[in-house]
Amino acid sequence: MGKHVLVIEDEPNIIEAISYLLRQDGWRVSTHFDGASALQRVFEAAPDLLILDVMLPGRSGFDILRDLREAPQTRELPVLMLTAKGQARDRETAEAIGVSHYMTKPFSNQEILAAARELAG
Amino acid sequence: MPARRMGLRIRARREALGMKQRDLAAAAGISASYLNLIEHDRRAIAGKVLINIAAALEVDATALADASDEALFNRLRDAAAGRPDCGADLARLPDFVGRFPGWARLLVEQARLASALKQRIEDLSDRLAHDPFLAESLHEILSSVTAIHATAGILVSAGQDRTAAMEVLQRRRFQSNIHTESARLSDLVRALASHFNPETSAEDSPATPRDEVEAFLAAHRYHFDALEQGPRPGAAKDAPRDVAKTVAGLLSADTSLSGEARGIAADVLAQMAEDARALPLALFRAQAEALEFDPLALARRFACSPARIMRRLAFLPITSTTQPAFGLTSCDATGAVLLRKPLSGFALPRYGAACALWPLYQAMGRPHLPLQRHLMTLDDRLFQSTAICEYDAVASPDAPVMRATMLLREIGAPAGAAEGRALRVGQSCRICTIGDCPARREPSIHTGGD
Repeated sequence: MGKHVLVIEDEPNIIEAISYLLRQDGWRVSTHFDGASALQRVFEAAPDLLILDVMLPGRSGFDILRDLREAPQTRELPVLMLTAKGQARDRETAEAIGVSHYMTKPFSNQEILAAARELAG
Repeated sequence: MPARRMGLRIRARREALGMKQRDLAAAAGISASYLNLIEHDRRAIAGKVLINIAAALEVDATALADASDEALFNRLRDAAAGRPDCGADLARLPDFVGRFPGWARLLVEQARLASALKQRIEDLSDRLAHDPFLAESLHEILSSVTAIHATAGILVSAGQDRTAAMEVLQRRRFQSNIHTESARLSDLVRALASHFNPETSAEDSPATPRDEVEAFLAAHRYHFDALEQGPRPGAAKDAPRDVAKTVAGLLSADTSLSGEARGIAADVLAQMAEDARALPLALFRAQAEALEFDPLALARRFACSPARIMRRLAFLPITSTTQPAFGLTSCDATGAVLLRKPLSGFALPRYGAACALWPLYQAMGRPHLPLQRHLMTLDDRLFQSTAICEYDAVASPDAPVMRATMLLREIGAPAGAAEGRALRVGQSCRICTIGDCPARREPSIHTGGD
């Protein structure tokens, strides 16, 4: 059984593409769409890697990451953050609250696979 | 330079100095008979003769020009001040205007056009920086492109790698996803193109409900006779119902407003009706003229809210050349613009996030205390601002609603003392060139982030 990745993203077609890519690469993939209940989902799923969108319905990815870094069980969880915001300030915000890797949309399939493999190494 | 009335001024000045015609003629290097023709406005003068006469009369040559020429001089001085690098010789201004009045007017018109275009660029920059529609569209486009890019990449890889065979159903799903996303992308791009199409979304074309309301108010010149009538005789108790009927009547006559804009417009018109009831037009105009349109003096005179006075001043129909034009902006505690009347020369952003130094925002720190300051714009135009922040604790006692209002009025040519006290302000950080501003929150596109 491969490593477990949880993808939290509200765009269904992006979820489907990423999920397919990761499964083909040997990952066990879980998905979630909503920001408001995302934190609970992470705690329950206890993934090896979290792929987290920034702009989610209900709650921003930045807020979710901030809570993850304060919780003992997810403090060290590798988090790959995806965003349509490419501004330097957003990247700085993500890095300040402890993102493991930050990737702006649109990204290539090779980029996201390489980042996932490296983070869950 | 047109000679109309100039001769009279020369003669009046000469007589005030007790000079004889021949003495002035000698000082100016012309004959007494020629001076006589000039003083009777039967000869036009310019250039060296004008300068010599002005020097002999110990006045600036421009002081001898008529009022319309004086305005032309002022505009040319403004144009020169805006481009000191061009080396315009102000001492020779009377000579230039006198010899080439048509060219002078052309230059003034070009400077005015350049200023208007600069204003338009600032407005568009502001729109790009703060337009919520643009930000949301960009996010949607990037998401859609990402889905297409990732899915297409998978399909191409599957086609190239025969060992990674893809199920037919999965392939069809991906193809369908690409089709769906490309349709979504087309809609997004079409909506964006429509948003920026100059034929349909120029400055005057409303993009949001509040823009629609602003366009509606501007089309009526911010004045509605029907709102000035007051309640029916003997119908004081029914006055609110009367206002609602009047407002509904005004709105029903306009088909351009969307449903959302109609609701906002109804609130604005109801407030205008209340203002009109509290400050009847004829009485308010008389007092405004008597008190030189000073909002705070008027607030004291009528013992009413300065914000109400400001709205009434801003929307007062202009009936004389001595009546100043006012601009107005009003926002809530978040800075979101609720009401705006543009004023030439002082850009008032539509989408909030303006200059934090504006008294509009400073007033929020001292509710109910008016703040009056001179403001100097980046192109050195001087304005008087009056701002106040008021709480409505009656309608919402648990969470009083804050509203700040700022009234603006241009004060003509900068006067030394006023200029010295003026606060230099911009419009929005993104397009502001003030380098060491303590209120800067983001880099300027003009300074590359410095």
